[in-house]
Amino acid sequence: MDVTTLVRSEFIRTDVEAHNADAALRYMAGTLLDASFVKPTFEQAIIDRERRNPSGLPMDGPKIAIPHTSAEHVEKSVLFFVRLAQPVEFRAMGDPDISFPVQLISMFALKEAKKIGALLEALITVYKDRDARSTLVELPDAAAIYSFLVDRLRRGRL
Amino acid sequence: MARKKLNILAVCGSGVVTSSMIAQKVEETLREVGIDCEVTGLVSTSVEEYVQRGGIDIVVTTSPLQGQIDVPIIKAVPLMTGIGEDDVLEEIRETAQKLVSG
Repeated sequence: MDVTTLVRSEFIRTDVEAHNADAALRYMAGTLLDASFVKPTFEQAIIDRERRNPSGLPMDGPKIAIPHTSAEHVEKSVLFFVRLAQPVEFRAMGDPDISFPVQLISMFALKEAKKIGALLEALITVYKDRDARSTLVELPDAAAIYSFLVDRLRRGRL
Repeated sequence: MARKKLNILAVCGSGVVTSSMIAQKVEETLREVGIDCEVTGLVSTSVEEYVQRGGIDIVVTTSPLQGQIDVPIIKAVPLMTGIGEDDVLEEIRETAQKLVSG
């Protein structure tokens, strides 16, 4: 998987305003739909899946969520990284009774179902580093986040 | 004495991610204490039916599970995030040891 076809500067956004997790997910899914990366079914699929299988990663420090859904809703593979202006509540992966404020959202749409495991592993390997999450919160703009993500994912042999 | 080989179900929302990320850790942990196991990946919505068919010893999951599941269930998100990973591996080790000695 080539990192730069997956990570695209136009899908790294900062200061996104959303009043809750659903609104953030709808904004992201709608943006991908407008750009023809996903099918119209993607938005509801990602919302439903977040309800059944929440994607907030329970970790120390700045929190990140990794929403995704199955390949059938996808036209072209892409990673969409959003840093919200204000954190919103996401529920914890594996434990929907727990929730916490999340400012970083790393959504992906993957066309190749078989690669989902490898991609998630590469992403989580980057995101489980607390310093990396702090950096993603503090970097000045989308261009800096883009460079950081591409570099980290390359090191992770994605 | 020939010991029983444990069948472990690794569960997540897609059925592939958790198994690919945790199978190796679970296998290594159990091999260290002399327990042989096979880890199979499964999507969370199929777990109840799959376990009821029999043959599964432990369910390791990163996804919330519903329904009647009559085998030990171990929450395994820490194996993905790294936070509390040792505690989860210890729980898997203890659960497996009870199963093979019982």
